Amino acid sequence: MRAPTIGIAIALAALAAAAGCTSTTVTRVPTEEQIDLSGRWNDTDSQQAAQALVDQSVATPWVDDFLLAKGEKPTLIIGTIRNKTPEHIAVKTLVADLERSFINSGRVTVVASSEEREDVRAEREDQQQFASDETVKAWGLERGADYMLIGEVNSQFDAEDGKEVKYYQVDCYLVDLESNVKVWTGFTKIKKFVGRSKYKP
Amino acid sequence: MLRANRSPGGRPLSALPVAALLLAAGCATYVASNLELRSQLEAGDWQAALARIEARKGGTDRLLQLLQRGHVLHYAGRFDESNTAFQQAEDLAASLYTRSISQSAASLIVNDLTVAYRGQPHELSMVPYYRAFNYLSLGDRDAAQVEARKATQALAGAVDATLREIERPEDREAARRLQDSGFLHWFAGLLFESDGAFNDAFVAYRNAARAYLAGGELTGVAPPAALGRDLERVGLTRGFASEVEELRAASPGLFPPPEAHQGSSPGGEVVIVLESGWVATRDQVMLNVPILDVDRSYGSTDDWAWELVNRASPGWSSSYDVDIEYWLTVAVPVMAEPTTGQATAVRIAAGQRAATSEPADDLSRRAVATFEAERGQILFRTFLRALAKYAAAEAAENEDETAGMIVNLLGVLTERADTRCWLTLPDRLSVARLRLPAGRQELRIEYLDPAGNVVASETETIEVVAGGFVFLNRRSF
Repeated sequence: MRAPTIGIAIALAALAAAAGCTSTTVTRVPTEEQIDLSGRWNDTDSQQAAQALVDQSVATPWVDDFLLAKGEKPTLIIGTIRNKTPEHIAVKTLVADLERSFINSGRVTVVASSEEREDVRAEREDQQQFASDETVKAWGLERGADYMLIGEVNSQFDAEDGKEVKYYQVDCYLVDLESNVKVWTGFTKIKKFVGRSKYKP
Repeated sequence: MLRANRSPGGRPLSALPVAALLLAAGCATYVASNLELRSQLEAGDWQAALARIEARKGGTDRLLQLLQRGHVLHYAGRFDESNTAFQQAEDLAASLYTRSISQSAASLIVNDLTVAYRGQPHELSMVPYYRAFNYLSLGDRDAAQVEARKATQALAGAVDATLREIERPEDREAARRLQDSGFLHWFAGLLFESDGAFNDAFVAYRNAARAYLAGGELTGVAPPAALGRDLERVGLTRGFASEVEELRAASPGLFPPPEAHQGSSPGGEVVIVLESGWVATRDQVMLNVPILDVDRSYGSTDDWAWELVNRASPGWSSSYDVDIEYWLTVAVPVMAEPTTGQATAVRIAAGQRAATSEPADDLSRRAVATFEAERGQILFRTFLRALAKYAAAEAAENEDETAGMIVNLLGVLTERADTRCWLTLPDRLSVARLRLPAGRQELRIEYLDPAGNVVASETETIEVVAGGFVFLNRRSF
């Protein structure tokens, strides 16, 4: 290597030093805007998976079968969605997205989860002492769910030479709480390609 | 590069001996200037250690700062914060796949410390291990399972990143040997089994057995007897009997003799990992390599640099009479000895039952193997830089002798070996297992020196659940 190469190297280093003088910028974006940074499971995946699963679920006969048999909308509780991937997935967000999509479908009634019920019961207990007789809510009138939604998120990742393919599959099952019969199973897939640049300035 | 030892007019040379004159390094290396961190941890002064790490944050050592911060916070019992630091480290390590052209250019004229530290395979693969313990301590068993699934992937990903930096086929082959870890598979298997995922656990145990068998020469660690018991326990009761028999036929030594069985009495399992000593680090030496009069004939600087790599290797000698034009002096890393912990094994006991740990992994030997695989490429970069500095000094000297001296001096002052590493990692890991009846148990933990003497002990109250696992980790400095 001779002097011209050194000159180029010095120029590049100087360029890099100048490029490094950046400050943090924050820009507000619409919450529905899809932004992928790392390629990991994110809010967009959660919303898309939940919507796809709920669309599948309410379009299948079990809802109408229940309506015919009982004359009312089925009541659901969202149970556990297990994360079986090597990524930390915010399962609570997925559960919330599923709840919202089910409620917004108008085809089913959704009751509070066991964790939420504890808070509601604490409030009801509080009412027994402090609320007026006209407004106090009675014990023993909670609506029991007919079905529980359970599921899991699985994944397969394949990586080579800075490129990665990420495949997620969310499987859900709707189980009759009285008979343990699975009345619906469904799944949705999300596939991502994550490319990384080999070089940057 | 030093030009002070130019040989005037060239000196006839026949059968030039290996020209590796090792001199004491003048400047403090990363390791030397951060060793206080180890003293602070030995003293249990987590705050001082964290303050020291924070004081040096930023720059090209950002990954090390995050790894060591996560590690110290783990020992300090600040598990949430430790996970945050480790997550940041994992994100940064992933982003460092993209090489900075400017940093690479700077490394060509300054030293390798101008390039962001990317982490070594045995370092990055320990992040899921510590994060799993963090989540277990926080009571988040699901998140610990995520770390179990990540553990071996992290190692494979880190080895891939290392391979990307290496050119010579023989070095790449050496790096590929680092791609698996029996301990990480085994640890993941134990976590899977603790969650009732028996299929995943058996697959992990089987992979652990294969990795231990294949990597024994690399780590010096034989498959632990407890792993054989795990394979039998899960394999024979969960429908993998034929796989167990295949393994037994291929590697009978994997399975303990019948008298060594602890039995499968109802109860739970205690797993304790002892992390002992300090991982082997890199040190700096100054290496003098001759530039010969015949070297001008090289077609490219790359070829010339690779020839200097050969010239710096043990056993090299010139096959014909040549003159030495210059002695290039470069700073190169070498591996230092690991520091053995005061306690190298642990004995756990409760009631009438007791068990002693078995060696499970040797991080220092992994560090050495990584260095051996990278050494050729490190030397190549070093000589490429030395030749560039030499060319710059020569060009300046042709214009003006003083300018030449200044450029040469700058070259010398900036010459430093890259000794960066995760300093706080242990030297070795060993694992003790004990099956105990369900219920509250007083677990006595005795720390043993290499001669088997008890150097310290403690008692921990644990809650054993039937069919469950209790995971503990301890550190001996």
